[in-house]
Amino acid sequence: MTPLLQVDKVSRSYNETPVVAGISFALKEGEILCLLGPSGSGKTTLLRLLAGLEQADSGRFLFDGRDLATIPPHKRHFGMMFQEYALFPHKNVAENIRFGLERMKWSADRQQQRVQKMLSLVGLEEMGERRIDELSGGERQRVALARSLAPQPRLLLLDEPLGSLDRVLRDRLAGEIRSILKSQQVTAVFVTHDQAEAFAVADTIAILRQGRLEQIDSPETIYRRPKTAAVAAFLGFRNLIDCSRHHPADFFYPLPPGLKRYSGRLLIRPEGARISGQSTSGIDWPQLTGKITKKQFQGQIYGLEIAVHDMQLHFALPIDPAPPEIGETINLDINPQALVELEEEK
Amino acid sequence: MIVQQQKTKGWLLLAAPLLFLSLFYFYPLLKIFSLSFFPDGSWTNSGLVRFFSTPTYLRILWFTCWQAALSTLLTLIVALPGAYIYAHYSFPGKGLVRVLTTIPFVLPTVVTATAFRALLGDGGLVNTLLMNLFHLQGPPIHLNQSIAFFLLAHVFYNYALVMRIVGGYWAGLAPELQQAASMLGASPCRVFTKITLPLLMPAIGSAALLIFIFCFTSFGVVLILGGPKFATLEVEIYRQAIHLFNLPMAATLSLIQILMNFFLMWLHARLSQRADLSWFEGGGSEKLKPARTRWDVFWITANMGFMGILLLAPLLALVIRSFLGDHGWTPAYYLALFTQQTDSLFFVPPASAIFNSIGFALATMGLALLLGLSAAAFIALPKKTGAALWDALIMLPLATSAVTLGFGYIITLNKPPLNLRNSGLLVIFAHTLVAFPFVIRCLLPSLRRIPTALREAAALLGASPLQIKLSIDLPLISKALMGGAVFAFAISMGEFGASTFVTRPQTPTLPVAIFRFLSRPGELNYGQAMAMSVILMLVTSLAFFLLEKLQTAGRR
Repeated sequence: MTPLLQVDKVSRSYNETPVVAGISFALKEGEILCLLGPSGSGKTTLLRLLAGLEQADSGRFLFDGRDLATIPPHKRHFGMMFQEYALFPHKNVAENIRFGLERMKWSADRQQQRVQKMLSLVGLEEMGERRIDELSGGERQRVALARSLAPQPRLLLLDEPLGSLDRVLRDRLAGEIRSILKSQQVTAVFVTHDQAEAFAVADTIAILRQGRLEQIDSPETIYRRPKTAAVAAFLGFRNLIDCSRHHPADFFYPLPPGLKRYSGRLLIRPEGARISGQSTSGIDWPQLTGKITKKQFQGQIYGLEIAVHDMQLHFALPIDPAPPEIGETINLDINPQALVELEEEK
Repeated sequence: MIVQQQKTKGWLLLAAPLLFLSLFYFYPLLKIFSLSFFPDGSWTNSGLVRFFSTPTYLRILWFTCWQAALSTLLTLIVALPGAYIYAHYSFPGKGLVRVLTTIPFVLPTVVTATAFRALLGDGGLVNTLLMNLFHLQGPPIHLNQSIAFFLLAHVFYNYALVMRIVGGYWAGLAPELQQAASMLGASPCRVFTKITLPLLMPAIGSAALLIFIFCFTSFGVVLILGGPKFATLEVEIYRQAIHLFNLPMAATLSLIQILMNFFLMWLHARLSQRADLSWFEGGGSEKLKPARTRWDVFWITANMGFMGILLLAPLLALVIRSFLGDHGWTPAYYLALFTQQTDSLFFVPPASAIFNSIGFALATMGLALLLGLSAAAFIALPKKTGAALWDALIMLPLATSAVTLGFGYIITLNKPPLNLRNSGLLVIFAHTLVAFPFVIRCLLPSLRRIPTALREAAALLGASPLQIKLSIDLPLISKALMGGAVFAFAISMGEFGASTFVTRPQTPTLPVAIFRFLSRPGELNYGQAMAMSVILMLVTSLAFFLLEKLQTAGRR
């Protein structure tokens, strides 16, 4: 199946500084892609290029086989949800949602039905007559989503749609957005700087850094096998061992065969460790020994910090059995699956 | 106890401004009212009846309205494209444009009127040039004493107002709103009519109403450029009071003027309440685009060029004309200002008007700051119920025309119990009354912007209430205070309407002196009016230049 959207070596600079630098990827129909990256990584710019709100310096976008370059934003039939929602303050909720329908030459009845359907889709059935400034943050977010979905866009672009909400609301709405998008079978590109949000919403995650595409994979693959140290660091992983400085044998016994000649960077995922001597560990799991410098009970896990040589390694251990006290030595079995060899940075 | 004390202190703040308002605003106003309805001590509404049954007066009212409406419409048509460009583009010379837009705020009406005569009048620069070029016998452009002449001056005055109010608001509109509409399939045209225009409406409405109010009470410009053929209500009040000495009729006209103004100001207050509008601070947007296409460049050049010509040409003409005698360049008009002629209009060398004006302006500045500061401090007190009411009350003088005020002064304050006619104080009081609402407008926003937490933090760190005032409040409002001071100074320097009534012959102010020169025939009188206008323009611009310097110096 040919992809619905093809992004081909797209670049954009501001005042000689590249913001989007030669990005290529493809998107299937019905897929939700998440552009994930720290601020300044070019993700919003890429989204605005896609929308046609800005022009690329080079490269092209093919949508359904057609080059988008000459099509102005209002004729692309894309939807976009803005960071601060950009709801029209002089229109009420229903009028906001109806705005995108007016060019479709539908009868007033049909428009009305569609507006009602959208309102119930986002759970705001009774709110049609409300003014925008009477809505809470979460309600505005829903109206914005309903408004962008109403004209059945061929591609929906979402720019940090949960960015201005508080943590609790964010977690709840992230899952809700995914189920709404899936129920409408929308193809979507979603921009965020929050990995938890990306994991909750996306089919595919593209990690952007300094205008470049670092990795594009399923959420699970991104988490299990981050490609570079930058991706790993961005995902919050802290156990990065530079094997050109430390030999892996300084850490692991027995040394996993694959690491004998390894001299790149090695990631130890924090949840891959178990206290030695448990039946849950595999037989051939390498062992790591260190001194506990910090121990924090966090509810579902123990957060443990261990000094090995001159490094501090962080682990998340199951709460049973409870680890020894600070200052004592601990032996950990490490799941070889949690050892990730990282690629060199380009 | 403490709360009670604070309450009393709060009211003390209001005492001085209230006393001032009662004596020098409400008292004269009441007198106008009684002069209209009780001219001989018994009730009569003959004044109103005469007004509404005399075609001449109704014509004046009608003329006042439609010239104001036409001025408003013309200004909007001309200035809205300018506002768009100013709000959205960055281009070389934009700093200069910003400075240009302050000119009308700074320029007294008398100077503007004189400047337009210097440019386009029968003996003006353009006519002289055309006559010389094409060897014509008479001036080809006849604008003197025509409607077009003062409409042009009204556009000059209000162009910058639209640019500031609408432009500032436009720049503050989130571009995402238009982009969102565009993403929902709206064509650029539909985006403008359905999104941009409705959102701009409060700003446009507010600007339009302000222009209407300004033009409705237009006095100096109509008097000087329109000539005897045209009279707005304001001019008619002046004529009835000064030339015909028909005080009851002048009072009736004043009353109608006041009512109309109150209605318009009320409308404006309601409009600007809904939209967060500011007069003097334009909300700057960071994302200005440079001109990209040729079309952009053309648009910007055409609009800004037009604005430059509109705002600068009259002033240039004024300066040139002030040095241009029958036989070429001459400083004669300036020199004449410093000598006392035998057939002079004045009892003193005309140049003394300069010092009179500066003296009055400094005194006005001091008094207006004092009253403005205490009134603003009262209104800005936290959790003050009825603040809006007091605010409105204190702003009332803004809604009253200067001519009405001046008229009220001469019928009340020239005899006991308050005989101030010969003290010169009258001028200062009149100017202060006009200026101090502006001072309040300058101060209030920054006073309100000081977070209460700052004062509380200072108090917890051991600062006494007085220390808090001196070390927290005062530094934070210093910029606004300077702004208010300069505005008060400039308003006093240029005040014309009230001054025509209250200045004494031997101590004229600059605008009054200019008007006297203009109303006499003869090349020397005309030239001296030009020279004096240049001086007045220089003094006010100097004040604003200093303000700009002080404020930017404080920023570093």
